[in-house]
Amino acid sequence: MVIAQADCHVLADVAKFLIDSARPRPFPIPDLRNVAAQDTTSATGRVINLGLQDLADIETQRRTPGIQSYARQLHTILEAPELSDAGQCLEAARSIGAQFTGGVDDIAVVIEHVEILNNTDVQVAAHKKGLIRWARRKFSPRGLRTLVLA
Amino acid sequence: MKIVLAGQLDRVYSNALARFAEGDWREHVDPAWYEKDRLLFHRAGTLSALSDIVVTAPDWNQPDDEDEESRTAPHGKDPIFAPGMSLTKDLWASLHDDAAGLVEAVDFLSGYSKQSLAILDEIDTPDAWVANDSPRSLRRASIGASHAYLIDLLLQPFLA
Repeated sequence: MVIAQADCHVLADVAKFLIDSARPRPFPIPDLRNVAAQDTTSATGRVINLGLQDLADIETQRRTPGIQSYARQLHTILEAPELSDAGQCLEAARSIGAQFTGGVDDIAVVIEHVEILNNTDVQVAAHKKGLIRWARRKFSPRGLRTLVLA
Repeated sequence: MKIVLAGQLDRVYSNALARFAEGDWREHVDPAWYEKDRLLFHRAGTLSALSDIVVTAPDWNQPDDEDEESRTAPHGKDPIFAPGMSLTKDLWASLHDDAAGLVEAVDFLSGYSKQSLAILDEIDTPDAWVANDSPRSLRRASIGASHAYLIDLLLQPFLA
C-alpha cells in the first residue's frame, strides 16, 4: 500500500478506536498507529521524484528503459523480506537513477511492515449479533508492506 | 510490483483521470489546491510509473450483469490501473456496508483526532474533487465526499 502521511493519521485513528473499544474488525485493517506518529526525519530513504504532470507522463515514463531498470531495483528493495538495509539500498538505487529526476525534490519515504488487526482477542456480548458476525471473521496473519510518502 | 494507491494519492489520480476526460481544466481550479495536488500527483505518478500494476479503489457501481468473471478496468482507464479484487457484486456491497458501518461508528463515538477531522474537512470541499458524471463522483454526491473517501480508504489496504 502506498499512502500519504496525512492518511496514516486517519487509519491510525480507526485502529486506535477498534483497539481501545475492543470492537471486532469487519475486514483486515492495518495498525498504523506507530507509523502515523513518525515525522519526516524518520524517513527510510528517498525515491527519485519523476515530476510527472499527467496520466500520459506515467505511461511514457513506464516505457523508458532506464526507468524500468530503476523500477526493478526499487521492487527488489520494497519486496525484500527484511527492511534493515532498505535505506542504503534506496540511496544506491537513487544515485544510479539520478539522471531521471524531474527537477523536483526527491520523495522521502518510510517503508514499514505493519501488522493487521485480527479478531483473535475480541470479545462481543451475545446480544450484539452484528458485531458477533464480524468477530467470527478470520484474517491471514500476514502484515502489510506500507510505503508512506512525505 | 503491485501497489495500491490509497487516500489522497488515489484522489489525485482519480482527479487526473477526470481532468483527462474533460480537457482543459486548470482555469476552474483554485490555485492553492492546484499546487497542492500537483505535488501529490508527482508522488502518485512516480510510484505508478515505477509499478507494474496499480490497484484502484473499488468500482462500487458494477453493472448488474457483471460478475467476478468479467470485471475489467473501467472504460478509458489505463489498463495498468486494475480493480483490486474479483468479488461478486453482492460481496462488494456487503464490504461497502461493513466499511460504512465502521465509519459511522468511529464518527458517532468521536474516534477521529483533530488532525484527522481537519483532513476530512478538506476532503469535503468542492476543490478537492473534479466533479463529473462518473460513478465515483455520483457516489460522493450521494453519500458525501468525506464518507465515500473514508470507506475507500478503509478498504484500500484490504485490496493490497
